Amino acid sequence: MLHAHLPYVRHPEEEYFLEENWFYEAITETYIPLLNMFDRLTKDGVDFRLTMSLTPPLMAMMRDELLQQRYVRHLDKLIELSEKELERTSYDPHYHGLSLMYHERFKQSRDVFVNKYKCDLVKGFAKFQNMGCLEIIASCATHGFLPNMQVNPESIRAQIQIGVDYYKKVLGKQPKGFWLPECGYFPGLDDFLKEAGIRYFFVDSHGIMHSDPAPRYSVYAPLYCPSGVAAFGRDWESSKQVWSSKEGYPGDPDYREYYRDIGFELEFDYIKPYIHPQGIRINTGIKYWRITGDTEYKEAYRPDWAREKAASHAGNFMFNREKQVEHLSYHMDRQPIIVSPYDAELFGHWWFEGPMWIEFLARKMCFDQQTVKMITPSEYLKKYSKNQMAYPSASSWGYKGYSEYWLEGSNDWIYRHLHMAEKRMAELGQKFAQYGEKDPRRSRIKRALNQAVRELVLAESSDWPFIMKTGTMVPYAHKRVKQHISRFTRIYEDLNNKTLDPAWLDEVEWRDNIFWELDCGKYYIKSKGRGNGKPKSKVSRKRKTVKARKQKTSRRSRQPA
Amino acid sequence: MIKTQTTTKRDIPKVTPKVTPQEDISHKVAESAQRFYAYQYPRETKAVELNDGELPSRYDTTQVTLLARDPHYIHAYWDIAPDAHDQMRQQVGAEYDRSTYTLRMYDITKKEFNGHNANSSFDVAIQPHQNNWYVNLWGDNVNYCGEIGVKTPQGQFYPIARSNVVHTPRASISERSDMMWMDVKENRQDAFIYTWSRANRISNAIDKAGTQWPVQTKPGRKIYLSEDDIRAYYSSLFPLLSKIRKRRNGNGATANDIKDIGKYSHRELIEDISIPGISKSEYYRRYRLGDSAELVERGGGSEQNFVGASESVHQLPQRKFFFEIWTELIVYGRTEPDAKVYLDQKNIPLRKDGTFTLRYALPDGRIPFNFAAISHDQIDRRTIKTAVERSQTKYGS
Repeated sequence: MLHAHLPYVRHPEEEYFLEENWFYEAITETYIPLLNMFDRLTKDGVDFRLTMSLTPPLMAMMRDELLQQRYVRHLDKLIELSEKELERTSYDPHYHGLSLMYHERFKQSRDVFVNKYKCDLVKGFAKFQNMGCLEIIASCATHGFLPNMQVNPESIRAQIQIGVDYYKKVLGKQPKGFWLPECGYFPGLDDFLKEAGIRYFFVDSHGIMHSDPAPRYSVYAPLYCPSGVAAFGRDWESSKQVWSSKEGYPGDPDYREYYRDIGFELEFDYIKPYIHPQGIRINTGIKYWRITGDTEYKEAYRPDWAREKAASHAGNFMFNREKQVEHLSYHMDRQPIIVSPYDAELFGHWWFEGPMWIEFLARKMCFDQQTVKMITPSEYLKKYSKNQMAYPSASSWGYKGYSEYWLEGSNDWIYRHLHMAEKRMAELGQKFAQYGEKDPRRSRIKRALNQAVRELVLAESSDWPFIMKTGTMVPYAHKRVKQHISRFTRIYEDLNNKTLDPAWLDEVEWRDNIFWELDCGKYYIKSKGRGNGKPKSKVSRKRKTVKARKQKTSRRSRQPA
Repeated sequence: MIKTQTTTKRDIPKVTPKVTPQEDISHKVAESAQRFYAYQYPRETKAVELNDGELPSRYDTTQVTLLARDPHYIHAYWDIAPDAHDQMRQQVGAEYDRSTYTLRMYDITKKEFNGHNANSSFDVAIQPHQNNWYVNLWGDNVNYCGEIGVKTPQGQFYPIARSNVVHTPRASISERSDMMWMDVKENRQDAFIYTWSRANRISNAIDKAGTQWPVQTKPGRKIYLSEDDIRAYYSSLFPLLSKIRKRRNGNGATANDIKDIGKYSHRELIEDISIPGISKSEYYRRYRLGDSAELVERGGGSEQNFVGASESVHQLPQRKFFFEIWTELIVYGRTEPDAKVYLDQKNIPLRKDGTFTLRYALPDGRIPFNFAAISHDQIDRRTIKTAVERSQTKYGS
């Protein structure tokens, strides 16, 4: 299961923006190689299944004209750089072959992007979903971390609904699965998912293991929450083989080293046109070294060695899964499912040989053995529609397993602003309820309401507290949160005081135009008030009868107030 | 040059990779989006300055909010409006100057909180300049509510605001191990449990590996659970599945049962699947599968560095002292602008003024250069032959 996500970084106001490079690097190194891999596998008739989550910000960026153009510009520059590199290394045998390899890759990526998929990669993924070998699942609107939003259930509902509706709009069908951002789950969240029509989602291993009551099959079968949505738990063993920084596959000495890039190594005047215009050295994507081991001195990368290693690691992974499944099936009266979710960026961007590894794995699983088969969660649910019912426990796949990564010294200050903004948005929704059905092209107030929702969801993204904690591009994350909250606050005040400035609104709409095709306001504007915004699960309706019968106040101790 | 294909009526102009920030792409919008498409108006050249200010340090409300961070920590943040200070001063009276602001945390597990019926509570003193705190708890899987207020030296507490209720996650495997099943089909979902008669509850079977395991034989009849039952199971009233089963079978819960609830709420239950002679941990080892169980019991399942992005994949380069050099060779020359220059049969492009520059990475070894220049009318011909050598590099300390 691959989780593909990038924060929504789109800055039309500047010609060149450094953080947009994350997107371009991800396309060149992960998404295009994955699409090529799917192509090769389907051409060869390999029966494989993969589940992928394409989050709405990523899909929005992939479909955006401006970013597509800028990407081609970026690629053209890379092709130019690789040509210069070809010449520069003509006398150096170790590196000439590598620069040829990069040159070919960049040219082929450009060809695939522009001619084959006509600059729209989402269509490429949709093609494979229609073939039946890829299942794309939905995610939250801007990857907001839901357990930290429990104080305002309206905003949880908005995040989920916007994500599902955007998926429906782009891919044209109802999503069956959902990827909770960072696997952040709390009991009661499944009611929101059920409202949106979702059949299953993913949680981390201890979400299943600590469920109430305890799980019969631990993480090797899904659990149904009482609302009927299934939860699949991550398998720790298979994840460790890939994720672990010490024992995992990507740390092998023959693989390409991520932290040595010619952008940092080459002489300044030569590399100047290909790094940041202000002269800050950045990654270009051309790297000549392999990991070699735990040493400062790196050796030249040998693609043939790396390829052989990827194949043997794929074989090793498959062998381990076979043994694991054999061991499990002695104890289980049904076929176990092993769920291994990873960040899609790991394959290709951080671990250069990752897509090769997946390809080898798919081929070997199809042709070299009969014990284990690749499957998607919805196929498993079709096969085993009867599963144990329990409430998974609140959990996430972040560091230490709960919310600490997004709620600690560096980033806890944002929550008072986020919660206040969410409350204010609900207020606006009630106050301007009569604008629910208005056309934003005719009503400036409706436009402002829509834009307010956009600013709010952009601020709620879990990427900003994540960056603040990891410390990579902290000023940028600070800037984004402040920008979006202050723009939202200004719209809130303007709407209350009737002082909307049309030129300012135009400019903000032009800059923060995520989901411009959706009527975002309707997620907060409810024509019939629903009170506190908690989901109308069937269970809560029966509350009164039990209360009347027992004459004691009974509370579901798991429901957030 | 990109030519993007769309299914729209008008032909779009050829789009070049050079970015033109404002082009009118209104014709690209699909029919359904026409209603809400409000952007990308043809823009005036005057750019509007967006003065995104700083965030306010406080909002003028008095509130306290709790966020559950992990099983043993709750994050609390609060705001006290200036007029709330005056209000408190009036309310508390003379003692106000010697009182401290306090955050009182109430443990309200399995209770509806009305201000007075908490299981227990503890106080956290607040400094005037503070506006958040990480509260440490000693139990997991509990409900907490907080109140912020003033506490006099005598111990009298005057609350100003009450927070939301949070529920901390579990940190261990649940004590309950009742097995409830659910079958979800397209348009309905049924929850049910199985019953076994005592006679055929356990029998020893031999599995594929040849070991004898106590295995449940085929179960008896199904009892369908209603939503009431599920809610009751998760409430404080009926934590035992057996009570639910008794109730459904017609034996109502007696007064004693209700009294006994308190006793059962935290005890271990291995009710229907209890097997004599096996301890709970043994049972878990045999029937609760996978290594994940032990790992989770040990450290919450995330001892490994499960950072979402793959920064755990590569260790960050250690900050040791490093020193590297590379050598590059620049060869430059000039000739008449319309002449042709060849290096080993390869044509070197000249600039308009007839100069050229070549740059090469210089590894250890000897590299020969054989240049030839031929004039435009092919009459004059010059050659220059040279070689550059880098001797073997030695690394030392």
